[in-house]
Amino acid sequence: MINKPALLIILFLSAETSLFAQTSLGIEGGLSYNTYHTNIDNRTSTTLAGGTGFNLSIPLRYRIYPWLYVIATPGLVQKAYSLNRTDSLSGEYDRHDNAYFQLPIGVGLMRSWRRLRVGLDFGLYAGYWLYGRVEGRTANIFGNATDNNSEQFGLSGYDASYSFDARRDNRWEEGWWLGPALQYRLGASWWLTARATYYGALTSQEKAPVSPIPAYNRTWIFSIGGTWSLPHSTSHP
Amino acid sequence: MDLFNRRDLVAAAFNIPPMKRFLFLLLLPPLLAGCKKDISNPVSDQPPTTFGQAFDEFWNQVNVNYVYWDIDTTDWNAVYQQYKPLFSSLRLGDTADLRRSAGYFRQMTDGLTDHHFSITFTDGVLRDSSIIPAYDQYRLDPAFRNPYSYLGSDVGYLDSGYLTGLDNTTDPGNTLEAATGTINGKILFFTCTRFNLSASWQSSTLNGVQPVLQYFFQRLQSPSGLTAILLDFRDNPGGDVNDLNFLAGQFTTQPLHFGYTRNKSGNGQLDYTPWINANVSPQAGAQDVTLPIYILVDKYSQSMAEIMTMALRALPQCKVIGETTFGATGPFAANALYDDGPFDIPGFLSVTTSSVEFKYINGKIYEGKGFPPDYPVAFNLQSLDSGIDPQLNKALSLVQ
Repeated sequence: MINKPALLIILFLSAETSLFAQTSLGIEGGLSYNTYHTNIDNRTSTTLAGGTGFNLSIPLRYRIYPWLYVIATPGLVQKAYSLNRTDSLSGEYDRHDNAYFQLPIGVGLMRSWRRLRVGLDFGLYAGYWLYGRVEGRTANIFGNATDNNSEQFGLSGYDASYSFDARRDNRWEEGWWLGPALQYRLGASWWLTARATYYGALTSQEKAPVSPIPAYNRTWIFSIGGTWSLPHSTSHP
Repeated sequence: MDLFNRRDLVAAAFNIPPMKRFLFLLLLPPLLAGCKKDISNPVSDQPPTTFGQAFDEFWNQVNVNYVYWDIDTTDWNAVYQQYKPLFSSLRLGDTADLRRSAGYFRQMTDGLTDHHFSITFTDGVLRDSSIIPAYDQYRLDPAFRNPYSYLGSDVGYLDSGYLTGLDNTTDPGNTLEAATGTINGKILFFTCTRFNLSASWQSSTLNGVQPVLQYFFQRLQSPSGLTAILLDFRDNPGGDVNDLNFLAGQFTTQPLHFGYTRNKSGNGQLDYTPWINANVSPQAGAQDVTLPIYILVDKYSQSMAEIMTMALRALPQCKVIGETTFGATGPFAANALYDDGPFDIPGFLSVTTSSVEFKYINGKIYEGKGFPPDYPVAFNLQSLDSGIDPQLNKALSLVQ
């Protein structure tokens, strides 16, 4: 049985009969900003906050027409978020940093002005959860903060690897992506690139019915890098 | 002419489709963006107007607030499928249906692991009635017995000059009684009928528990002539969590690690924070107690009585004697503290349930099972009625 990333790669490659004819390869890195789209209306004095992380990807472009190309950008991306307590519980929080291997594939539309190109990329992606870390502070019920018999509890911190639980967690995440791309030609085969890409998950991070309220990652990735037109290709990445 | 324009010419020469034919692709992003979902939240705490609504609120609140789903064998989703039609057929204002609903609530919760779990009804004919699955489970046990108050037999063992004291003012309606003294002049003894010692000690109103604690703490700090300490937490339903540090913190000068707790971190059944250490915090003036410590427990040692026992048992010289405890080891606090644990369905019922899951230092969770003694000694009513306490006698035999 072929797993999902392999299938996506095969689909991508099978569409290309002369891969090296008009192909470019690059490397990009930057920051990610993730928000957690769910509903916590039942939770008292709790807010959801986005989290920043890093991303690293290897964009692979194949030009079909001067204004149209297909693109795949396999890479690693961190998707973070936190639940923060407010009011009298301020100081308690629970931050999750999840690392995914992600394979977005799609198409890009492009327009050029001299050395500058402006494009719009969009498509679908699949992500595979690799690793997670959870950090936070919570009330320690055995750690009363005062000696006067109050209901005030001291806070205890934690910082641990996330324990993947197949009963609860979806290892795979699928969704769509969209974003503008800029390219600046440095030489015949070299281009400086910058992209802002929005990823919207269509797969809840947790499984139903164990988790009755779905939760989706919504991620912005801001990256810069360089692209190199492969030998025998044109100078257009 | 730049490179792009030259390629445009090439494209025209080879009849490459113009970009406008593919402008439909531009419609794809907004279509995908339209996939964004509005997420509903089924958890509600509104006063119910139908039994169907009351059931839904109860089921969802238990689903998100219960902390022992990771080890509980109850299939809560199957419970929904089974009981939703039954509740939907009931009428909220009907007396017979209200009684019938109590039976359904009892059946659907009777296998829950959390031994703090209880339902108290606040509406109509069911007002002040309650469902406690742990007691229901115990009543089905062939070894079931009623609670026994050991205080009378305890004082029969104490040397003259022992102290007993009452406090019925600090927590009106819940009398606390404590006793201390020595046995055979060399064993320091302490017992209390429940845990509210810290509040009694700090109460500005003089009460009988204060001199009992004063004597016990003073002897702990000046143990000259003592060979052991005997604590009796039998028939103790637990109480104030502050008592853990207040009492156990008298036995150590260093934080005493005895277990771990974790609370829910989300609305999923299995959404947990990582485990954090459960420690006893040393109290001002405490000394490291090196004398052997023996703790008496029974089936009715519950909640804080079990936690206190487990905490002190983390000391290497401490041993536990008696029966396996009740198995209500997860403490609870107001729901807002962790966004889990106890909850209300306004005007209908209140639920008490643990706020944190507790795991002992050995990695075992004793919720629903009870903490086993090092020296099992069975309860013997006939012996107790004749003034002989086999469990206390076992402790004395270990000292001598």
